[in-house]
Amino acid sequence: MWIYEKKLQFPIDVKSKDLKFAKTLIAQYGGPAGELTACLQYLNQRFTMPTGQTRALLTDIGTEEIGHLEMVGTMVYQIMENASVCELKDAGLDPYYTLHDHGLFYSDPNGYNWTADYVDGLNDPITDLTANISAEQKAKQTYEYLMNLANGDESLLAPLRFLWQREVVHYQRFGEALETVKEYYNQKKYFC
Amino acid sequence: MKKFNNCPAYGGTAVANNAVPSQKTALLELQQLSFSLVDLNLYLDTNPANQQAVNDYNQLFEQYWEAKANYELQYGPMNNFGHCPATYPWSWINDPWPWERGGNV
Repeated sequence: MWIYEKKLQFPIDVKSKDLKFAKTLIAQYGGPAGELTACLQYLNQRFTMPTGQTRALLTDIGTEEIGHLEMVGTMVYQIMENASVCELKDAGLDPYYTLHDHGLFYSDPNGYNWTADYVDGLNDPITDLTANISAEQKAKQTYEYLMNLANGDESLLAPLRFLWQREVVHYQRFGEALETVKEYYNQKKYFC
Repeated sequence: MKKFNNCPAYGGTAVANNAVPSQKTALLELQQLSFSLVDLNLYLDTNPANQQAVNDYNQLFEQYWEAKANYELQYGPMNNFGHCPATYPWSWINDPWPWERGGNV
């Protein structure tokens, strides 16, 4: 069960009208290393994790990622909300407009729609936690590229910086969980 | 329960402070407190035996519930069930939603 809180995890009030940036930012909404992939990956893997610690961590990080999905969606929405058709066309968003108007959609800047193929889940806890460490690093990298594209707009940079920092923290927590899972398996190792 | 001290529906009294903070200020405080709790939550998942972190969590928990109850009293419910008494008419449906202009700053 989940409970919705009527607030963002970090305040967002986008001043930018940079539609080209919105087009790139959607990478973190419905792209391969985006927030949708992250939350669905962790919330799916947790069912078969071997320890209470890993089950809790995947639940909690997966839940936080839903909040990050909301933050990215908010940024895209606020950039695009009052854009005219001409402005969308000039920014190369005419294909997007044709399919989704000003609405949000789970796709990436190249127009590829989100797919479950982005999700890692091989069920082995070492394999999956390693994939999650990689996923956090990929998301962090993408946020760095997005910050380079944000034209110094602080109303975009502040939430992007926050999201970037959260990837660092999640990376650290997954790293710690991986170590404890290795210890757990070593404890259970016996020879006869 | 202590966490409902500020909710009139639970027999408490409204905000004790003279100055009621603006929605922006109240929301920012709530975001800061809940962020600290989320971050400590993740830390404790992988460091469950850290007594100092548990103490910090419990201290922030008290502050969070107080701030949340005060916020909801002034600016409407943060959750749609079970966390705060309902008003008449049902105010959960009121704008702004978090993604809307002015919705969170």
